[in-house]
Amino acid sequence: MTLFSETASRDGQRWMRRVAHFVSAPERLIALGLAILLGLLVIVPLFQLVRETITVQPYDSAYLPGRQPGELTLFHYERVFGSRLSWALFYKPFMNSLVTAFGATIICLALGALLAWIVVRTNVPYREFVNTAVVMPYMLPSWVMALAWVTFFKNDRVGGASGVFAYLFGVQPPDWIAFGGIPIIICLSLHYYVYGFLIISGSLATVDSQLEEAGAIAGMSRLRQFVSITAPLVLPAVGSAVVMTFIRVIGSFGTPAVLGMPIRYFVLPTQIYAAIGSRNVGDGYLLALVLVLMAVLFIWINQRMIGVRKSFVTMSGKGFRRREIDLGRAKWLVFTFVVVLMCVTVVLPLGLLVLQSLSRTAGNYDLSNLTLHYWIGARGGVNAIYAGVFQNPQILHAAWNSLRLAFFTAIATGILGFLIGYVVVKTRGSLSSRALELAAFLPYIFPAVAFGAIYIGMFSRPVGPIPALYGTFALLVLIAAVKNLPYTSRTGIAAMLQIDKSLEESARVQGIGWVSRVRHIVAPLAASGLVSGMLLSFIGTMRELSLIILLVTPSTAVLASVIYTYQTDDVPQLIGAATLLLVALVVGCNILFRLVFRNTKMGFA
Amino acid sequence: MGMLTKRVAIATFACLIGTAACAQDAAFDAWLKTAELGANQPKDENWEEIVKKAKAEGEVTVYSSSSTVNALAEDFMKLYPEIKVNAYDLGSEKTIEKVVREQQAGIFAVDVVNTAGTAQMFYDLLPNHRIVNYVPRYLEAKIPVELREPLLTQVIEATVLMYNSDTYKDAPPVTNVWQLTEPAWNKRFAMKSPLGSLTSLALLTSIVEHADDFAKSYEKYAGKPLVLSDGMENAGYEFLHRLLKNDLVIYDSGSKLATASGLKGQAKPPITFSSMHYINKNGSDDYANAVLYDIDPAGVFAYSTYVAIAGQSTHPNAAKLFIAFQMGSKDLTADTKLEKPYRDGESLKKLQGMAAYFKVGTFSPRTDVPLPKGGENWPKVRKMFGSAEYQRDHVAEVNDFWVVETSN
Repeated sequence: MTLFSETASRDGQRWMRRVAHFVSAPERLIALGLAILLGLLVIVPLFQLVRETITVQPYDSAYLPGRQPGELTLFHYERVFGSRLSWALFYKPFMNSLVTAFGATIICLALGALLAWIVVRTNVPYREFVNTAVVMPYMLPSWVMALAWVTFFKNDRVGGASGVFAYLFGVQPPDWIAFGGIPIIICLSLHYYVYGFLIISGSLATVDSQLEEAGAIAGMSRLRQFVSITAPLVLPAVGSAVVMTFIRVIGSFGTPAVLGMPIRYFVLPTQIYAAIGSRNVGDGYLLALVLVLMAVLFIWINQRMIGVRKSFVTMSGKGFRRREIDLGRAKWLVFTFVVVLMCVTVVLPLGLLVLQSLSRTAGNYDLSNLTLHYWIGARGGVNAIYAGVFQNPQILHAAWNSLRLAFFTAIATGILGFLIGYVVVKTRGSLSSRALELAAFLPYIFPAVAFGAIYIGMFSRPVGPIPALYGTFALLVLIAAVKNLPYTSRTGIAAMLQIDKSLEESARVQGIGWVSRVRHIVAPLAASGLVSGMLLSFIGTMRELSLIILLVTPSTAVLASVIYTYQTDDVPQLIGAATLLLVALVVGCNILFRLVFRNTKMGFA
Repeated sequence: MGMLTKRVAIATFACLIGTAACAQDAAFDAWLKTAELGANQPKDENWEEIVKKAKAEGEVTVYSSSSTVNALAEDFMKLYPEIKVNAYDLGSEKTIEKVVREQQAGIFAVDVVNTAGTAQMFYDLLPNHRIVNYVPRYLEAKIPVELREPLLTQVIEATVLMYNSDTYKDAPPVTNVWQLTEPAWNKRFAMKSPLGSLTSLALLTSIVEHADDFAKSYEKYAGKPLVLSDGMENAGYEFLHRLLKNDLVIYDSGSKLATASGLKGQAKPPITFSSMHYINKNGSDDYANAVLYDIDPAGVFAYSTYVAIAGQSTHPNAAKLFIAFQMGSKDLTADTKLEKPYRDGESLKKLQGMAAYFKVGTFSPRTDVPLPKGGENWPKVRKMFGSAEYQRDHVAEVNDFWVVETSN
C-alpha cells in the first residue's frame, strides 16, 4: 500500500517535472500549437477549395438536373477547360493575365533595378530625397493609379462623362489608351516597381565595389565586370523580386477591374470575382485553383533557374567600400527623371482625384463647376442620392472599419510574428522549426484574390469545430493576418536572431518563469523589429482590396471596397474624395506611428 | 477496424449535418411563431402593438437593389425617428448573394430584402427559408393575388426601349424591333450588361421566352419567315445574336444609358434599353427620352421588384412596419390629390414609402392608389412579362449564351 502510493507519488513528481519543463520552456508546445493553427488556416482551406471544384454546387442545378449538391462531378472542369464557354471563361482571361502580369513584371524589374542602381551606385543629387520619393507609390493603394488613369483618359466608349483628356483637347482618346491591357500594364508597373526597387537596392548595397575593382585589375571591361561579377551577385535578389512582383501583380484585382471590366477585358482575378458574385462558385473556385497553380509553377521555375546558386558571402570583416559612379552633368538629368517619375506616380494621380472630387458635374473641369458637396455636402442639393464623405454614414463607417481592421491585423501580426520568431529561433535546426517556417511561408504562394476565394469556400458554413465566420469582422482580420504571415515571420525571426540566447538562459537558470522572461527580456529586445513589421502590415491592410473584396458584407465593408462600389455605380466625385480620405488616413497613421515609436529604427513602410 | 472507424466517422458526420439542418428548421419555425409570420400571421393584425414592438426593437436593416432605398430610409425615419434604418444599396445580384451567404454562415443581419430577381427569389430564397412573404392584412384586398403571392411586389418596374424625342420630333424612328438589327443602327443601340445585373439578365431571358412573338414580328417586317443562324435556338436568341453582330454597345451602368439616348442636340442618337424610371431625368437633367410604346412586338418589358422579411430576422416587427410603410398608407384612394414635393408634409404622410417611388417607371401594385403624373396610361400599355418558371429554367443558359457571344 505504502509502496504503491510511493511509486504513484514518484510518477506524479516526474509528471510535475515534465509539466514544469513545458511551462518553463514551452517553445515545443507553442510550435505544435502554431503548426496546427497554420495547418487549419492554410492547408485545410486549400483542400476545401479542391473539393468544391469536384462537387455539384447549388448553382449547377440548371445544368445538371437531378444531381444533388455535394455529389462528385467533373462538370466544372469540362465547363471551364473544354466547352464552348471555355474561351470566354478561361483561356481568354488566362492569356490576358499572362500578358499583363509578364508585361508589368518586366517593366517593374527594369524600373526597379534602374532606380536601385541610381540610388545605390551613383552620385545623384539629394540621394535621401530620391530614395524616399521612389518608394512613395507604395503608400497609395495600387488602384489609385488606375482611377487616375480613367479620370484622365476615359473616352465615350462606355458612356458617362469623358475624362480630362477629352475635355482639354476635344478629342476622344482611342480605346486602347482608355481601357484594356496596355493601361493595366502601365498602372500596375507604376505601383509595383517599388518591391523590385527595395529588394534589389538592398542587395546591391551589399556588393563590395572592391570585387569589381578586382575585375578591373584583371583587365575586364566595364561590361564584363557587370556581367560576370555584379550581375551574378544580385541575381538571387532579382529572382525574389521577380517572384514577389509577379505574384502580387497576377493576384491584383483593383486595377484590372477599373481598367478592364468596363470593356469586358477580363483577367483571372476579375473573372473569379464575376463568377463568385453571381454565385457560380464552381467556376470561381476552379479559376482560383488555376491561379494558385500558376503562382506555384512560377516560383518553381524561378527556383530551378537561379535557386542553385542561392547565396554568396559578400560581407566579410574586411573593409567595405562602395564606389560611386560619377554621372557628371548627366546627374541632373537623372534627378529630373526621378522627379518626373514621382509626379507621374504620386502627384498627378492625387491631383486628378482632388480635381475630380471637386467637380459638380463629372467630366466638366471649369472653375465655375467646382463644389465642396462631395466632401461636406448633405444629400440633396448638388446630388440627390449621394452625400459628401463627411456626411455619408456608409463611408464614415467603412473608414472606421478600415482603421479597426488594420489595427487588429497589426496586433495579430505582432503577436504571431513574435511567437513564430521565438519558436523558430529557439528550436533552430529541428523539424518543428523548419515546418513552422515553411507553413508561415505558404500564404505567399496564394495570389490575393485566390486566397479570398479559398476563405469564402472554407468559412461560408461551419466545418467541424470551426464556426462559419463569413460576414464577421473576425474573418477579415484572420485572412489579413494570415496573408501577412510570410512577412511577419520574416521580421519576427530576424528580430529574434538579434537576441543572444545567453540572456534568456541566464534568467532561466535563476528560475524565472517563461512569461516573466518574455515580458522583461525577450519582448522589449525584439520590440523594435516587430513594430516596423506591424507598421508594414497596418499600411498594407489599410489599402487592401484584392484580398477581401469577396469577403466583405455591407456591415463589414471597408473604405477600399466602398470605393470600388462607387466605381461600379459611376460616382467619380465620391470616388475621388473617398480615395483621398483613405490616402490621408494611411499617411496620417504612418506619421503618427513614427512619432509614437520615435526611438525605434524603422525600415520604409 | 479502419473501415469501421471510417464508417463511424461518416455516420457521425452525417448525423451532425442532419441535426444541424433540423436545428435550423426548428429555429426557423420557432421564429415564425414569435414573429407572427407565415401561417402564424394573425387574421387581424394589431398595428398599435406592432408599432410599439418595432420601436422597442429600435432598428431595421434593409438590403436593396435600388439606390432609392436611401431616400426611403430617410422618409421612414421622418415618421419613426425612434427606429434607425440601416439601408444598403447593393444591386440585385449582390443583395441575393449576401443574404444567402450570411444566412449560410448563421448570420441574421438583414431584416428586409428588397430586390428584383424572380427566379432566385421564388425558387431559392423562399423555399430555403431565407425570406418570408409578408403582406399587411389590410392590403390583401387591394393587391391582385399574383402580385402578392408567393411574394409581395413592392413596385412594378420595366425595361423599355427609349429614343430621343428631340431629334425625332414627329414620329419614333423605328416601329419594329428588327429594324435595330439593320446597318442604320450599327453602334447605335445600347443596353446594360446582364453580367452582374439580374434585371438585365431577366430582360434577355424574357426576350428568349417570347421568341414566337419576335418571329411573327420578323415576318411582318421582312415579309418572309425568319431563318435562324447557326446554333441559334429560336427567334429570341436570333434577335440578340443579330443585335450583337450589329455592334450593340454594352454599358456597365444604367444611368449612362439614359444620358446616351436622352441628351438633346444629337444628330444620330442611339436607342437604348433603359430602366423606365430614367424617363424622369427628362425633368431633372433636361433629357429628351421617350418610350417606344408602339413598337412591334413590344417596347416595354415589365418585372416585379419584391420586398420580403428576411428569415430569422432579429427585428421582425420593425421589418413589418417598414414594409407597411413602403407600400403606402391605407388612407390612399385612387382620387387622392397629392402635391409636390411628395417627400414632405401631407403628401409624405399619405404616400409614406411610396413617395420616393411615386414616378413613372416604378408603379405600385395597389389598385386603390393614384398613378403618378405622366404614367396615367400605364394600365393600358402593351407590356411583356417574363414567367417565373421560364426564368428559373433558362437564366443560366441565357447567361452562358451571352458570355459566349460577347467573348470574341
